Amino acid sequence: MNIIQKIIDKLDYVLLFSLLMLFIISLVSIYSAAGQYSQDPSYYLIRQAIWYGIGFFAMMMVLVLEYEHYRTLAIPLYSVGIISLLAVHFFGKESKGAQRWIELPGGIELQPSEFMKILLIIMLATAIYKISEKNLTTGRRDLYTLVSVALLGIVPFYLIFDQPDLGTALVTAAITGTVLFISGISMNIILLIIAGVLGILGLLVWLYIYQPSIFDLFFKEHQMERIYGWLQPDQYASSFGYQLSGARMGIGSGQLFGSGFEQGTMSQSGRVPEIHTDFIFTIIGEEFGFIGAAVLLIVYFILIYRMIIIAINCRDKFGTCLVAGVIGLFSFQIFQNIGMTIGLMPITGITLPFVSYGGSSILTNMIAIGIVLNVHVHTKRYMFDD
Amino acid sequence: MIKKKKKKAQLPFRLNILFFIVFLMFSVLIIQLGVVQILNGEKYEEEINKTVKDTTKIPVPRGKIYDRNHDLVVDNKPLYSITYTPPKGVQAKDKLELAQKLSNYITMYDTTDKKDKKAKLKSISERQRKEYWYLLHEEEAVAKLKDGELEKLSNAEQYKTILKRITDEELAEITEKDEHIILIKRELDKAYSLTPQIVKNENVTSEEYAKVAEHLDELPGINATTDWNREYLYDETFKNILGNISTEKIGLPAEKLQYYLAKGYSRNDRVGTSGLEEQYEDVLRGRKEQIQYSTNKNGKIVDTKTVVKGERGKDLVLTVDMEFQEKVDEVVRKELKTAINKFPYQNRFLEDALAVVLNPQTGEILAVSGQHYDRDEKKFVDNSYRTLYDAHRPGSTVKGASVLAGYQSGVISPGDAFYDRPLKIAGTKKMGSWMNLGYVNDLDALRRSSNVYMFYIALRMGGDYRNPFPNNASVKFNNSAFQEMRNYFYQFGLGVKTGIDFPFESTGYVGQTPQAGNLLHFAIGQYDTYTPMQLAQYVATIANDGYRVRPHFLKEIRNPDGNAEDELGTIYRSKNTEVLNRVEMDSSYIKRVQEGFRQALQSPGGTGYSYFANKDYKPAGKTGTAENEVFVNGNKIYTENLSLIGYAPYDEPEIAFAVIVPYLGSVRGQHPIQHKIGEGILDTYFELKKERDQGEEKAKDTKEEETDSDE
Repeated sequence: MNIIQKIIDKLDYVLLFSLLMLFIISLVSIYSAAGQYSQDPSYYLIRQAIWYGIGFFAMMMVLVLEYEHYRTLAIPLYSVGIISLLAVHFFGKESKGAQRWIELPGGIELQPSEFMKILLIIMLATAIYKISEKNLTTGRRDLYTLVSVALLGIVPFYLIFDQPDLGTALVTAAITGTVLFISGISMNIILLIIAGVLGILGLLVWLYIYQPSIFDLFFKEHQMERIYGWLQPDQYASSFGYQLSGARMGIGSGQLFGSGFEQGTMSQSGRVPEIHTDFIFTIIGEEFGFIGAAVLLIVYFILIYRMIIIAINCRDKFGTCLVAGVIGLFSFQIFQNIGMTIGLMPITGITLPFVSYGGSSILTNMIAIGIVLNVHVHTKRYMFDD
Repeated sequence: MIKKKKKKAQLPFRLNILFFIVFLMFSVLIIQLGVVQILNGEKYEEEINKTVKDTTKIPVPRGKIYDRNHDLVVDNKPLYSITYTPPKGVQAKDKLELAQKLSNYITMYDTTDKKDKKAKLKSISERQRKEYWYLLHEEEAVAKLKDGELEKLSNAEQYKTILKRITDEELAEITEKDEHIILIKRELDKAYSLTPQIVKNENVTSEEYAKVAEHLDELPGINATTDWNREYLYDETFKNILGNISTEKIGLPAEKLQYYLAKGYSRNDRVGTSGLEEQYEDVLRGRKEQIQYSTNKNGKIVDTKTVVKGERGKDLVLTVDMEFQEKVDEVVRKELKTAINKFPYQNRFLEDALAVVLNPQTGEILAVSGQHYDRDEKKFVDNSYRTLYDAHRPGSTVKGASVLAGYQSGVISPGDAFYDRPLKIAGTKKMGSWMNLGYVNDLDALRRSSNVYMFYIALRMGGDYRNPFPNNASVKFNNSAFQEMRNYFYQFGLGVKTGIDFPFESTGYVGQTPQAGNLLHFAIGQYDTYTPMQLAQYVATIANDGYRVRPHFLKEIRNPDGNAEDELGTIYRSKNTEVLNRVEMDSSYIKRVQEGFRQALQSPGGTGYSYFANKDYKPAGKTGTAENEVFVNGNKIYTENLSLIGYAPYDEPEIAFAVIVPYLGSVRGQHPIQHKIGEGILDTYFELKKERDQGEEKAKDTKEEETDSDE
C-alpha cells in the first residue's frame, strides 16, 4: 500500500497528461483511417484501446520494481532478447518479404525487435553504470565504455538489420548513440564517432557511384528503391514512390486547417497503404492540417521535455542513461516517421509512437514510459541540494 | 572531490545538448510541414481535386435501308443484352464477386438443351478453372510457394508457379455452379476499362433482362441494354450488294483497325465489312451517346454527364426497286436454268448469268442480278456482286463505241459503206462476220452486226486505208491507234471505273499486245473485257445522248427522325445525278448509233428483231456473241459469251440494261439466253410500271369517287 501510495504521489502528471492526449489523437486518427480497411470502423479503435489498457497495466507493473534492480536483470533480459532475435532469424515467420515475427504456441505473434529496444536500453545503462563504478582512469573508462556499448549495440543492430528491418535497426543505433553520448564519454570520442559515421556514409555514396558491384553486396535492391522513392517520389509515383507521393499530397492538401475528420481525399482513398499504422501521420496532416500536426508535435515535445527534466533531476547515472535511451528511442522514431511522410527521410517501416495502430508498439512504448516514470518516482529529492 | 563534482555537472550539460538536438529535429519537422502544407499546400490540393475525365461511348442502332419505293430492306432486330463496363482499376476479385451475383440472374447456356450446356461447360479451359480456384482460395494458393520463391520470383512468375501447382483434386472441388460462374467471369474479363462489353446477348429472356435491370445497383458496371441484329427482309435477294457487318466478337476488321480507331470507333464495334454496309458506314453508324465520367484521385466517379447525345444511324433509301429486283432475279435464274437444262453437256461451263438495269438519265440502279449455278451443291445462288467484280469479253455489243470512234477519228463518215466479206491478213486466220453481209453502211453494220465494217474502222485508224483490203496482205499499222481507240471507249466507261458507290469494282482486263489483229478483235469486243456494270454505263451513255452519268445505289439519306417506328425521316441528303463526262462525239453521230441500235432490235434483219420487233416499249440495243476459251487439262475448248445491251423506249429512254452470260457451249439451237433475259427485264419493267400506274389511277379514281359522293 505504502509503495503504491508513494508511486501515485510522485507520478509525473504532465507526462501522463501528454500520454492521454496522444491516446485521444491515436483513437481519432485510427477511427478515420480504418474505414477503408474494415467494414466496422471501430474494429481497430477498440483493439487499440484494449492495447492501451494492457500497455497502461504493463507500465504500472514496471513501476513496482525500483529501477535500480533492473541492473541485476539486465544481462538475462538482454540474452533473452538476443536469443529471440536469433530465433526469428532461424524459425521466424515471414510476412511481406521480411522475417520479423515469431509465433508462440497459442497463436500469439511477437515481434522481438520491438522489445529488444527496451532491453538494449537497460543493458547499455547497466554496462555504463558498472564501468563508471569501477575506479578507472578517464581514458580507460572511456575505452571500456566505448567498446562495451559498441559491442552491445551492434549485435541487435545487425540481427534486426538482417531481417530486414532497417527502420528498427536505426532506432537501436539511435538509442545506442544517445546513451553513449550521455554516458559522459569524452567529447573527442563523440566527435570521432560522428566523423566516422559521416565517413562511412561518404564511402557508401562513393561506392554507389563508382563501385556499384561492391555496394550491391551491402544493400538489397528494395532498400535502394526506397531511397529513389524518397528522392524522387513523383517520378516513381507508380511504384516505390507511391506511398510517399500519396502521403505527401494528402498532407500538403491539408494546408492550415485540414480537410476535416474523415474528409481527407487521399487518406480515405486507399492510395496510402498502411495508413492506420506507419502512415497514420497522413491522416493527421490531411484531415487536421498544419495546426493539428503542430499540436501533435507540441504534445510530443512536452513528453520529451518532461523526460529531459526527469533525466536531469535524476542524480544517478544509471537512471539518467535509462531515460536518455528512451529519449533517443522516441525522438528518433518520431522524427523518422513524420519525416518520411513529408519527404525528409527515406521510407522505413517504423511506427509513430503512441499513435500508430499496433499492439507490440504500444506495449513497448508504454513499458518505456514506465521505466522513465520509475526513474522519476524513485529519484531521491534533495530539498536543499546546491 | 572537486573532480567528482565536475563529472556530475557534465551530465545535465550533455542532456541540455540532447534537448537542443531534439529541439532542432522538431524544428526541422515543423519547417518542412510548413513547406509542405502552407507553402505548397495549394498545389497539392489542386492536384488532388484534379479529376480525370473519361468518356464512355454507348452504341446506337445502325441505320436502316429502304428501297426506292420506301419498302424496308434491312431492319434492326432488337436483342436484349447484358453488358459490362468495367470501372477503372477493377480487381479480379471484384469481377469474381460480380460473376457470382450475376449467376443468380442469368444463365449462360440453354437450360433446355443438354448438349449446349455440356459444350459450354466443356469450353472452360484448365487455366480458367485454376484462375478461379486461385481467386477462391488465395491464402492456400500463396502457401503453395516455397520459402525462397516469394523473394526470388516476380509476381507473374509466382502466379504461374502457383497455377501449375494447383492439383486435380483441388480442381475437382469446382462444382457445376462454379463452372457457370466461370463462364460469366470469362466474359467479364474480356472487357476493356470503361468500354461496354457484351456479357450475354443471345437468347436473353425478358425475365433475365428484368432481373438484371432490377438489381443494377448491386452489380457495378453491369447494364441491361438492347443490342441490334441486322434483319434482311428480302433474304438473299440483293444481299451481296447490301454487304455484311462484322460480329461483336470480331469487332473492327484487323486490316482496317487503325483507320477505324482513328475515327473514334471502339475495338468491339460492329462495322460494315462489305457492300453498301461498308460503303455507307459513316452514314449508317450513327452517333454514339458519349457519357463523360469524372473520376477523382481516389477513383470515385464524381460526375456523370452526357456530352454527346446519341443518335441512331441515318437511313439509306436505295435506287433499287426491290419488287423489280426480285422479278429480274427470277427472270435471270429461270433463263439460266433453261439454258443449262437444254444442253447440259455443251453448257457444262455455264454457271453465271449477269444483268444490270439502270436509269440512263440519272444513273439510278434499278436492279443488279447475278445468278450463279453451284454445280457441286446443285443449286442457284445469288451472286449479284459479280456484276461489279467479273469482267467478260462483251462481243459485238461494243460496236456502237467502235463506230463512234470511227466517226470521231474521221476515218469514216455516217453513211460510208464497206463490202462485208472475210478479211485475210497475212499471218493471221481469216476473219469475217457471222455470214457474208455484202455491202453494209454504218447502220446496217450495227443492225446486222458486221464485224468486217469494224475491221475497216480499226485498219483505217491504224493508218491502212486500202479498200477492199487485199487478200493476205500485210497491214501497215500505227500502234498508237490502240490507245486512240481505247481513249474513245473510256469515254463511255469501257475500261475505266464507272464510279459507282461500292467499295470495289473491277475495270476489266486490258490486252497487252498492240498489234493490228488485236485491234480488229478489240473493235468487235473480242479483246479487252468489261463488267456488266461498265457495259450498262456504256449503253446508258449512248441512250443519254452522250452524257456519261455515275451509276449509284444510293438515292437519299434520311434522318432518323421519323415520328413512327416505320416512318421515314426527313431527307438529310439526296444523291443527285452526276454527269461524269460528255463523250466528245457530235450528237448527230450519237443519233446515228442510236438509230443503228434501234434497227438492231426493231428492223427486219436486225439481230434482235425476232425478240423485240413487236414490243410496245420500242427498245434499242445491240446483241453480242464473243468467243471465249476454256482450258481443260490443256485442251482448249471454245465457248461463247452471249451478251445484250439495250434501252427503252428508244426515243425517250427510261431504262437501260446490260446482260452478259459467259461460257455457253457453241451449239446450234442454243437457248438465246441473253435475249430472253433482256426481254424479261424490259417486259417486267414496263408491266410493273403499267400495274403501278393503274394502281395509282385506281386510287385516284376511288378518291375522286369519294369526293363525288361527298358532294
